[in-house]
Amino acid sequence: MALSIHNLSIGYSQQKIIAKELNLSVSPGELVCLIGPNGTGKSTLLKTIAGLLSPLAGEIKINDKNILLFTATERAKQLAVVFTQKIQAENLDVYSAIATGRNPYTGLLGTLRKDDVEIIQRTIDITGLKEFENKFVDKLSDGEQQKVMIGRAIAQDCPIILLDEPTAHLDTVNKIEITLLLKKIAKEQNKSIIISTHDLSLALQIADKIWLMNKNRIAENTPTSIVNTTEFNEAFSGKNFSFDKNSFAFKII
Amino acid sequence: MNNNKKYSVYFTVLTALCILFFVLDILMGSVSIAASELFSPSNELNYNILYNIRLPKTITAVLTGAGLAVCGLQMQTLFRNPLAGPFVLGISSGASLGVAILTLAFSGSIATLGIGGKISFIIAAAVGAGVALLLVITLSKNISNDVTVLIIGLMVSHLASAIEGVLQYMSSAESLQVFVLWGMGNFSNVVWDDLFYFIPIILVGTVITFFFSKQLNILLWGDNYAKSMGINIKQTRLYIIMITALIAGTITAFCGPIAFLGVAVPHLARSLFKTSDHKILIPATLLIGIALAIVCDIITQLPGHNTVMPINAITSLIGAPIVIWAVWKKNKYS
Repeated sequence: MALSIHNLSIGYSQQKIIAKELNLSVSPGELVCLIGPNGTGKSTLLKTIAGLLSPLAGEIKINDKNILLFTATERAKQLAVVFTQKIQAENLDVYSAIATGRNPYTGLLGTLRKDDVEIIQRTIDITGLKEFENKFVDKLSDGEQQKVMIGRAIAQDCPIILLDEPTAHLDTVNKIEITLLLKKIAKEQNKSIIISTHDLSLALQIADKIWLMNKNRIAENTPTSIVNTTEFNEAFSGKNFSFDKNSFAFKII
Repeated sequence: MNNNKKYSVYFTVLTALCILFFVLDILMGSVSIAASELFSPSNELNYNILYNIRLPKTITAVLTGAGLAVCGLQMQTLFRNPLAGPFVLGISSGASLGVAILTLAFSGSIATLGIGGKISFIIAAAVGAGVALLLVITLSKNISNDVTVLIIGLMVSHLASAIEGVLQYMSSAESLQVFVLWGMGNFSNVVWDDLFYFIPIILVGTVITFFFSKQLNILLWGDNYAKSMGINIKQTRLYIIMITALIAGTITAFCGPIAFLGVAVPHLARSLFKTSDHKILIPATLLIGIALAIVCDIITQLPGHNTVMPINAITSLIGAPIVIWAVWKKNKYS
């Protein structure tokens, strides 16, 4: 297992536990989609896995080693994150933005070595950002900016990448493109990728595994099986709508 | 790479400008001295004017410009706020308060304390600056709004000034005079003995800053990203606060609070060099800060006047429009 979670409780304090007794796992090359209604704690879970929040109970292991035992740099070599917030840096060009991902590997002054440059170039090719290489990030479209963010995470060259709603604010075409890019990276580079998303239909079509988060718990299953569970129905149906398992789309009744 | 060529041209031109302004500043003043006397003064009076009055003052301008500009850059990156700077965020006021407490406690006799006095002056200012900055950073934790952070900075600044005011009210006339003169900001109070401390502190401070350029580059991404890329945020933040407090505090101790240089110069550097890389921005702000501070000093003693204008008026006249332009440029499309 690249990543395994044992009896984990998450939240901001013992008084405010958001979810508990979580047992989850991700293998190399696996794409996991974390779905669930707003406010169920998807971001909290990702932040806890990323080491930005401490687990309230239980443990998170990367290759069977508790993440709390990693130093900051060691962890940055295992796990890259793409957050929802936009970066506001002025005059930051695409190449430099992606090069930032090499931070855990570079020395005191951050000078890039030959293999760093190779990884950056390869990342720019994979993400299709070649023509934007010298452009400033804040001048790009939302979809292109998101590719830069993903590119930075890829350049960090970690076996695990977490992405918090990477396709929010994007149009349908960009959404599909970005998701397919992530799928490709998972398969070709044998990385474990965890995405939180509200796009149910896309998640069910692309994921190897679904984590459904609702009411303090997470159900883990394959896309085809999870749609038949009561947890799924509870989370995604209402008085006058339901999710159609065959068309992977919502139906208004 | 194309950019490197551009940068070296800019750096060469800026260095040349700094040297030119430096010489001009030494040659200018109420007593006119020919350029030919620069290396061989014709009499002892001119020697004294050139080497014991004007040279220390110009070197002070260099140190102040370089130091405040580098502090401003670090703070704008640390707070991710284009309006951050030593003067705006209460660092200068904190340093003032530190000095006020010291001066008033010793009833103005600080000048007679000699070398020990100078060092305690620097320590008081640096501690005051550090406390103010720590306070601002603690209060503005979890606040992402630029303006809110700024208001907190201004309030901390006012708070420090108010405490200063109370202290002044309770102090003797002579210590008040010492303090008020110092508070107006001045490059010409610094003598060679002071430079003995001033030069190494600013030099060491800016060199250390340069070694933080990698961390500063990543801090631009925000705390979460920086942590996920292996940066120890708390430690890095503390180091940066310590460096800026030492640099800005020392400058304030020697020259009084100097307005706007710190907040304005990084904007000029960013718009000229078009980069976010601190390995370039640090030397760039350093050189532009030096050039601008000397120009301000030259303006204070424009020919035709026997009196010297207050340095803070000139730095504000030049700095404030730059800041307005930077903010306008940033918010024009959003």
